[in-house]
Parts: sequence; C-alpha cells; structure tokens
Amino acid sequence: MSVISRGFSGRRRPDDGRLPPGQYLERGFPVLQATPTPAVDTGRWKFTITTEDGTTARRWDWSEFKALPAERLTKDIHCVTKWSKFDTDWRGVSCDVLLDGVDTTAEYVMARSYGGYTTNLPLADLRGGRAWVAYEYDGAPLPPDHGGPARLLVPHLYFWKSAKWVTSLDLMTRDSRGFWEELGYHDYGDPWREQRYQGD
Amino acid sequence: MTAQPAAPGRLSWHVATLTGARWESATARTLTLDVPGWPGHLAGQHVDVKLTAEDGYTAQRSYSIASAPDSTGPGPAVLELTVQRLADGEVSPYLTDVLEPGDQVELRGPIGGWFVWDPSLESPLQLIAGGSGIVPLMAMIRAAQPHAGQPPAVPLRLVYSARTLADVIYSGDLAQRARAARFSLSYALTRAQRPAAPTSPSVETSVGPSARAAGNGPDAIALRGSVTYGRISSDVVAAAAWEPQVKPAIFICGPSGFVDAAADLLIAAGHDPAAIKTERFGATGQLPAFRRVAVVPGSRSARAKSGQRVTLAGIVPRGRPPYPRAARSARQPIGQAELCLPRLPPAPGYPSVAVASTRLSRGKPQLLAGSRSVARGTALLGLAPRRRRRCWR
Repeated sequence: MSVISRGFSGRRRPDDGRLPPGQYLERGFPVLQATPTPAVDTGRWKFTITTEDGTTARRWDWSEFKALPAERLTKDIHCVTKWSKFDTDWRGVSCDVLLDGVDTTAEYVMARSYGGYTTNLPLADLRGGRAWVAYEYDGAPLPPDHGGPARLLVPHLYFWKSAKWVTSLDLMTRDSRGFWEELGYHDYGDPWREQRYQGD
Repeated sequence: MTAQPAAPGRLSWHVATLTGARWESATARTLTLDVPGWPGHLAGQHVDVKLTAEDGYTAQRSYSIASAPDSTGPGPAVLELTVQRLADGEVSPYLTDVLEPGDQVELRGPIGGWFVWDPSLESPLQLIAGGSGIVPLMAMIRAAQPHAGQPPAVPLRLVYSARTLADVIYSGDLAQRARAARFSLSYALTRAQRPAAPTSPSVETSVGPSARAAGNGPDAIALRGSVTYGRISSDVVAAAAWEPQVKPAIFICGPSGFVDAAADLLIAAGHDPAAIKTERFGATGQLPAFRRVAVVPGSRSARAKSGQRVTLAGIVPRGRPPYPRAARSARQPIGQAELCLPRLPPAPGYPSVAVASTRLSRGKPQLLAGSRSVARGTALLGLAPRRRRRCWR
C-alpha cells in the first residue's frame, strides 16, 4: 500500500532504465563514512589476499600493485543513501587479476580497510570482470576522502561494498558480517532489488 | 572500530501522519509525526522518508531523527524530524513547504547503529555540528538532558558551526539548555559579520566556556553561548572543546568537508581517532583534482594555480602525539603543501580543501613533486567562500 503524498509530483527524468528503484541522480560525489579519513602512506601501503586457512596467498606493495595490468572503466555507482552517479571514470586492477591462481574453496570474502572498516561479499561477485581495486578517478590519483590511495570498486552492488582504503581480501568459507552489515545493512546489497537493509 | 550489535529485523514502511510542525530557522522545519508501530530508536539514528506522487512515482531520502528516544516510548509513537530545505531539492522543499498537519508520508527505520549515543556511557560528550548536522546531535542532547532546565547526565560540550545566527537551528532550545551546568555551547559563524571588530584576527581570543558567563557581545547574550566568527579552527577547538585527557565520546556531523576539518583538528589536538564518530551529508562537488601550491612560511594564505585563494586554518599533524614542536601551533610556518583543490566548491557551506601531503619545514617553500616522505602532516585549508554554490539532494 502506498500513501499518496498530496501535491507531490517529484522531479522525474526520462527513464532510461539506468536508475535503480529508490535512487536519484547525483552530479556531485558525496562522501559517506563512519570515521575520520585515515592517512594512508603509499610508501607503507600493502595489499594482501588471505585464504580461508589464514595463508597469505598474495601480497603487493604500492609499486608492485601499480605494475599490475590495469584497466580504465566507466561505471554507474549507487549509494544506499539514495544517490546514484552515472559514468564514473576509474582506473584499477581487476579482481580477476588479483585472484588469478589463488587456491581456495571459499565462497565469501571480507574486504578489510585501513582504519578498520570491513565489508563482506560473495567471492563470485569479485570475479567475472565485475570488481576492481581502483586507484585513479577521472584520470587523477584517488583522493583520501574517496578512499585513496586505493579502494575496492564493485559497482553492481551498493557502494558501501566498495571499501575505501582497502588493504586486504580475506577469503572465508562461511559468510560473516562486515561493519555496516553488522549494523543492519543488507548482506548482499543489490541496488536493483533495493536490498538496503537486512530483510530487504 | 567495533560495531555494536544492533542488527534489526526487516525494516517495514510505516505510515506517518504529520501532527504538528514548527520552523526552527528560515529554512529548517521540524515535523512532528505520529507513527503507529514505530519500534523506537537510539539517539543519532535516521529514517528513510518516501513520497509517492499520484501516478506512483516515488522519491526517498534520509532524514535524521531530532527527538530523544524516550519520546517514542509506550503510548502514541511521536517522532520528530528536522528537515533543512535545499533550494533545488526534490524532497526537502515538499517536507518544509507543502506538507500540512494531517498529511501522510511513509517512513522506515530506525537506520544506522554506528552514529548513536549510548546513555549508559559515562564519558563526557563532545558534539560538533556543521549546519543541519546539528539534528542527530540534538537527539543526543535531548537524550542526555531530558529536562532542559537541569544539567545533562554527562558533561557536554557543543561546538556548532552555522553560516549566520539566523541559520542556527534550535537556538531557543539550546539557549535554555545551555543555562544548565555541565553544558557548554559555542557557535562558530562562518558568514556573519562580527558586531564590532576592533581587530582583524579571525577568531575571538575570548572564546570558550569560561567566557560564556560574561557573554561575548549581544549575539552571545541572545544565544547563551560563546560566539566566534569564521570557520572552526584549532583556536576554537582549544578553547571550546574538551581536552584529550578528558577522553570524551566525540560525534561530528555535517557536510563532509566540515567533518573532515573538524576531525583533523581534534586529532591534531591529541584526541584518539578511534573515539571519533562521524556522519556526513551532502555532495562534495566533483571529485577534487590535485593541484600543487606553494605555501609561504609564516603566511596564512596562498594562491593556487587555479587562481583560487586558499587560507591556512592550521597545521594538523597526522598520527598520534607527541607531535613535533613545530606542528603544535597553527602559527608555525608551513613549508610545503600539495593540495587537492576541488573544481567546484564543496557544498553546502564548508568549502574546505583536502590536502594530499605536506611537509613541515622552516625552509624555503618548494613544490612537492611526488615525494614519498609525506603523511607527516596535513595543513587544513579553507577556500574563501564563493557565491556560486550548489546543493544537491
């Protein structure tokens, strides 16, 4: 049942099918995070992939990471706080490259960030050319308040899954909740099914 | 960063009926809503509001809850939201200017279990608000101080940055509350003219709780708080915020640039970053582009390549104390700074400039060219206010 809001007409835009339900188009790039922006020094930055038995399967420092094959991509992004932004321009390393050859039977991943942020995702969602670790936006280094030096980029899920300041992917055989998921946000977060909160 | 166990069940939509409304400022309106079945909330949480047009078109936005949790206890479930009208907003102008008592909207919540104040905590409270960021902090204030005439349950300091006095939300309520003991109220007005300007410094020297009783000009008397003119700065923090030794619980809410600036100032003053919880709203303009500027030692301003003038608000070293002596004072010279200048001023109202890297030095200013020995300090810079601003949402 919907309650009609008397006198509300809204600001429609031609529906070209790009805006998920409940979202609105944003031209700026809001910053949403729960804590102060951590200072992450690329001189000490590292990125690791840990398998379900605790083994460090992959490890890169900043220069090694920047030497990995990167791609430039243009994606629509959708934040659970309702804004969507079209055609965002990124450069980063595909998670397919990062996970290539990693021996695992895990089905889930906990992404961990400098500053303590965590978010959980199915491993399958990081594969198949759908997820990246991005370090440039609009042709420039990613600024700290938008997750620089590097952030996870999983544009087909709500943007809190695209962990800022990401430093590791920990593979898990059983799903476990990350920071916002523990606080009531959805475990998967598909914007097209409007999976904002647990139970959606 | 530890999450609190707060996973709620399914958040269903509730029909909320407007039972009353009042203007808090020229652009902010408090909506009193009757929400049957409302499950209750914690101070600091927000709700999603959904509007539906006759043809089924819907729009959703999030709004902070202004009322204390107690007011949603047994009996009629009354919820108060305070909505700041954004000139080109889709939803907020409807809620501030069109919605009338008896009208209904849909909402669901409460949402957010991180930016919440737990009344069982005995730590003093440090609240820092920028603009309508006061709203969730007001819920905390009301929870901590159920009776405006009596002292709050924990000692509380509020630093509230607004453009002018006319933009201050809850000014009457805050004035009444600040009369009580253990409640310190300080305003930082970014666009207001100081009543009488004997000198030119951007910050009053007599800010802070100790100056409150004596007042600080007619504004302070009207507001029962100390007033400084200009953006929040290390001087304001030193005078009006808790000392780090007090180990307060810190909540900062406002536009993202403001939140970053305030958090950096507190960290520079020695507060534990882990004690700081933030809530941000609004767009920051387009993603900033990096530009380098030279900062003259001893100077409080610099000119960026883009021609935008930047003003130094202070030096904020990263990391934990002890800091280098040179980093303690905002008046120490700054050597070099690599700045990140937004192409558009961040909205709304707090166009701070993020700094990519700095190096503190007394030497001749040089441009940093990809130096790696960075992250030792951050200079907080503020862009001079520009007329052309954009708000979203």
